[in-house]
Amino acid sequence: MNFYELIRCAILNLRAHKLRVFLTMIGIIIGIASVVAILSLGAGLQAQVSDSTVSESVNTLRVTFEPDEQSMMLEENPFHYQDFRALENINGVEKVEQSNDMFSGMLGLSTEAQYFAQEAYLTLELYRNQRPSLVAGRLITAEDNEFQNYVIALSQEQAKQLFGDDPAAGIGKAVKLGGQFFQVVGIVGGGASKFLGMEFSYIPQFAEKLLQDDSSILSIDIKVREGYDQETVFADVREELQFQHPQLHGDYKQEDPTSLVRDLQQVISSITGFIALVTGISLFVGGVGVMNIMYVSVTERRREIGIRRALGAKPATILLQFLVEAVLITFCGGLIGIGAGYGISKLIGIFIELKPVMTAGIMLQSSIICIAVGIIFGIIPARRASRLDPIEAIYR
Amino acid sequence: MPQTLLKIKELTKSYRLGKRAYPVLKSLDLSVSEGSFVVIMGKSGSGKTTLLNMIGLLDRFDEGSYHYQGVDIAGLDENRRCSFRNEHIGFVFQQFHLIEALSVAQNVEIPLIYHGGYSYRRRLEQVKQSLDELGLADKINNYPNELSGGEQQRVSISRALVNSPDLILADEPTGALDTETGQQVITQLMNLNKQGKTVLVVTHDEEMKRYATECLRLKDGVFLKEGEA
Repeated sequence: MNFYELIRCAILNLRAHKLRVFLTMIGIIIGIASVVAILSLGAGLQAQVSDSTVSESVNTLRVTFEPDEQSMMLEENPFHYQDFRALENINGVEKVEQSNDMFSGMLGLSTEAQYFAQEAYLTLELYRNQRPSLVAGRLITAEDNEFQNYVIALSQEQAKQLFGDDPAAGIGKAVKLGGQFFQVVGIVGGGASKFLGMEFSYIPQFAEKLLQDDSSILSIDIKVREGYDQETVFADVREELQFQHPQLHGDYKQEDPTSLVRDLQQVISSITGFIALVTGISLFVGGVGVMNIMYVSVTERRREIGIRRALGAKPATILLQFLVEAVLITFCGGLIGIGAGYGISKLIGIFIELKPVMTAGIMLQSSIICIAVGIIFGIIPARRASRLDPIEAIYR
Repeated sequence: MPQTLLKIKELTKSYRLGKRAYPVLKSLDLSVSEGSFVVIMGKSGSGKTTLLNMIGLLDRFDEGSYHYQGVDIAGLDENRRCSFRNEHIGFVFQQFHLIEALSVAQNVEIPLIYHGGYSYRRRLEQVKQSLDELGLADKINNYPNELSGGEQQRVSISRALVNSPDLILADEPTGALDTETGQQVITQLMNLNKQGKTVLVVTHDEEMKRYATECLRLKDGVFLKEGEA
């Protein structure tokens, strides 16, 4: 009996009990769906993080501060914007920037803005070619940044707080942010400027330092000039920083720019570990369901097994037939589970703004898992079927 | 002089229930010639079905020897016994024993699948031919529960025939049928016999002995001599 015939026989038999087979599949479907959902979300997160981080140039040093174990509170912020100029004077340093990691674009959840006696709290973002919908006026341009124009594209809601019901009236007026006047050039609405219900206002990138609090700098990126040794440059940078911050207990460390990815991978893998446990339990329960239904099937089909033996089926063939049926149940359940899992991850992705990624590896992995479940839980009932005495099976 | 198909000597079989052994067959001798139509008659409990299952290698006996076409097959292992059943024996059961989930064609196809080595097209051809022989060509895609008893028994005969066995073993083939359809089934078995198949029927239907080339009576595990009742 070849493989194709085994599959065909199994399908013919399963077709006779569609509902029962489907109910048995549910456990497997849930198990595999959760595996696939977490794996594809994990892959999506990694892809997103690597896109924003790893792609940064190789000749960039990331410097962080690692406090001594006994100092619970930092005596002062480990990095100041004033440090940047000093560091840029070091031989071999081309440019110093605050690290552009996942959170760097967001400047502050509430920055106070004043227009005469009116006040509003803005959620500010640096303008990096985002595409918010424009209600009036214009967006920030590259020239604004180049010529250091203090301009702002205000969110509609906050503009109303400052200028009354017609936000467009604010265009051309100046609002005060952190002691600096910004000219309102545009009013932006919802769309891409909305995140978790917050509306963003945008300012040019050059204005970053002016608004930012030093404490928000957790690490800096140092672009090293070509031809300079990164180790040597780092040693100088470290010395300079220690000189600038003598009262700090701790040390400045060079961080691999990919470490964020690694940290995230670690987080993902520990989440995955937990999900794997839950999934394992679910697959176990599903597997027991398959085993149970196969036992029922063997008992119900005793006579059929006897007849098949009389017609020339070998015990091993009977074993394979039942095993293939069990595997087919788990495999079909797995296929449905892969589809459902990807659907769920897409749905979750909408809420947490993450694009899940489905890879061939994930599909292969989950297919292998469900085939394995079918074999593990199908083998015992199948053995029982193959060991039935034909006479007993037919006549009793 | 026709060749001997099978020869059984001093076959003994008993069933154990608890500590006691109940003898079913007691030192039986049986010889079946090729092309014969053997009817073994006996009341229920006489051991005739057990004997049939021994001949078909479905059951194992305790003592005795069994030669089939001159070969000693008493000691075959389980896999060889399966192949033997598949290639040499066609079983026809009293209760038809068709598989309900499969169509007529799929039921008849089973022995060919277990035989292996036939293409799907070849199998389908043989299935059609076998069903045609029993006048069931139009029922090929029906399911067993859509057929009458007589039709189901003819399907089971087709299934017994499909792999061209030498020996048809029929256990009460008319037992679950009314007189008329039973008669049709007997006629079919007669036709097969005329085509050269050896047929061995166990029954308690006295009608059957009219068609037999040889009729044996089994009582309490032994054959009765001619003239004994």
